[in-house]
Amino acid sequence: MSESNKKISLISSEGEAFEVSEAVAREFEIVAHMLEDGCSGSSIPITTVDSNILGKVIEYCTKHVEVGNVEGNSEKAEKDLEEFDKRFIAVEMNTLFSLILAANYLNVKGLLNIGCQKVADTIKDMKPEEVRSIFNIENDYTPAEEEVVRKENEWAFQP
Amino acid sequence: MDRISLLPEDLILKILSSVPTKFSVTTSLLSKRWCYLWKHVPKLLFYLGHSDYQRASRLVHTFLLLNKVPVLESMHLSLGQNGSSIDIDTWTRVAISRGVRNLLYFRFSATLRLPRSLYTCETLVTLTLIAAIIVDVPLTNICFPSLKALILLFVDFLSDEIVSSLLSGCPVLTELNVSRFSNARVKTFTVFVPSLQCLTIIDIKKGSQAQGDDVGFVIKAPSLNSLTIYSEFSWFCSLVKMPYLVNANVKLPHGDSKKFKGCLTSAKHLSLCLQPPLDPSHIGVFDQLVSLNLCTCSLDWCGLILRHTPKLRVLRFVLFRANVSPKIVNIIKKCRMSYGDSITQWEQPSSVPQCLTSSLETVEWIDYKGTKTEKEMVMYFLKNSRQLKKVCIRSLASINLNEKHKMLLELASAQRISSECRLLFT
Repeated sequence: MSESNKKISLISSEGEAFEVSEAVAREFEIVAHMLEDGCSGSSIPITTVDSNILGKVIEYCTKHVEVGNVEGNSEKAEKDLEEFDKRFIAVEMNTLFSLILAANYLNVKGLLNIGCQKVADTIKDMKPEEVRSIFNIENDYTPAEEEVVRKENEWAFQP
Repeated sequence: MDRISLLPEDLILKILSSVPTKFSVTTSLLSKRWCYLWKHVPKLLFYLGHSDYQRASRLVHTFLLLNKVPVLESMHLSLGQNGSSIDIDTWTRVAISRGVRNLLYFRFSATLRLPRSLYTCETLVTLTLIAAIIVDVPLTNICFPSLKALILLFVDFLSDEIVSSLLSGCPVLTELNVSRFSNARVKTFTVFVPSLQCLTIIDIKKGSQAQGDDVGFVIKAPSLNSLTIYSEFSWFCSLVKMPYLVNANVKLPHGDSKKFKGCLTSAKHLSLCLQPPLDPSHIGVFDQLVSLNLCTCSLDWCGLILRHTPKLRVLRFVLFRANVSPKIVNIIKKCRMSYGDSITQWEQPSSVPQCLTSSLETVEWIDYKGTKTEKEMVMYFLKNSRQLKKVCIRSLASINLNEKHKMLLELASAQRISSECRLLFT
């Protein structure tokens, strides 16, 4: 079997197997390193990622491998990918955080970048109260402490 | 547990690296854990917007003073016209002392005086200057030993020599991106960079431009693998052979095709928009060429160029366009061909070009309008391309369904020499 046709199974935390081509599996840098280190097994357990999220990460990597193989018209390919990324990352916050954690663990740089960028774009115009509420951050300052922090960083809070 | 606390600190810092600094400082109010996180963000991203300069300058000053990262990865400053030279000088020097890797200045057509120490900065990897007139560039002793990417968008220098000496101080530069509105000050733009791999030049005409034999680009970059030139007023003064060229996108306003000769022939992917057409004796043979995008203003010499592309597999007809990037200024330029029926005439080649017989597999037409010329050309390819697998026609969005249906029927009934050929019409 030629290198490019080789299949690899990625096993989710629930034990579900996802069969992917080696090229797609190599998009996971953590898997690429395993393969380079001589790990010859055809099934690789991804114990910290559940089936739902693993399926999504595979979808992302498959699309990026496909587009990378198209010849010519790189501008159109780039635009298509951009649109795909935009749709792909438009998910609710819990899924977004799970995707970021999975991309970080599996070392899929592109996905990690668009995930973090999506969070940044979501929060960048928000007031602290709004950010607290979308992330469920508990405000553990006493009013007096909060006032001190506000005073200290006043130089940045002015319009 | 709150959602964002699940993320390790390096990921939170990565998120905070993508928001304006003004916002990242306000996250200190979220909770105790967040109180000092912003001080570890390795980027200063500041956009002046409508706030007043005094406050803005205080913010940049204070951030630089309180930030605790050992290496300041990026400093992006978008300033109004009234930014003070002394401030910019100080900030830049602080950034240099903190090992800055990426610098960006956006200056709205005002002069920008950068400190001398910048021109010998050892850590700088990317330098982006936008909409500024750069003054006080030293003519000697420029050295950016780590600079990989230089992006100059609508930047004016005071003379030809400054450009040459700036570039000669970039021994490992791989990417150069130049966009201009004018050639009033810099007439001959010389790019002599042996390490350069990717060059983008976009010249957009605004008002009158200097003319003459020495006005344009001298490109001595033999290692280029990607070249994009969209020019409304410049031409090559000279070009060298580029044996590693893979992608070339070229739009030039007027022809002197001798300078072109043989320089682009190693390209695998080529986009062309040239009016008037090249002199056929100067085209050379594109014997590596796999895909060709031809601007729909250049149909008249399609037959001619196809005789010089023996291995072509993909042929696309599309209006030539170029994007000014990075997206901070967001300009997309298209070829100004009129949208009426004044499409250039096409002359059927006297004999069928080799690539149609042996290699051409895909023909695509973007923004098809169903004019006589377009129809004749598509029918010609269907009739004569023996290896054809796919013809994709994307009609212009403004055409109504009835018209589209008619166009499709016309093409579907045309003779096809390749039995495998599929026609896709959208």
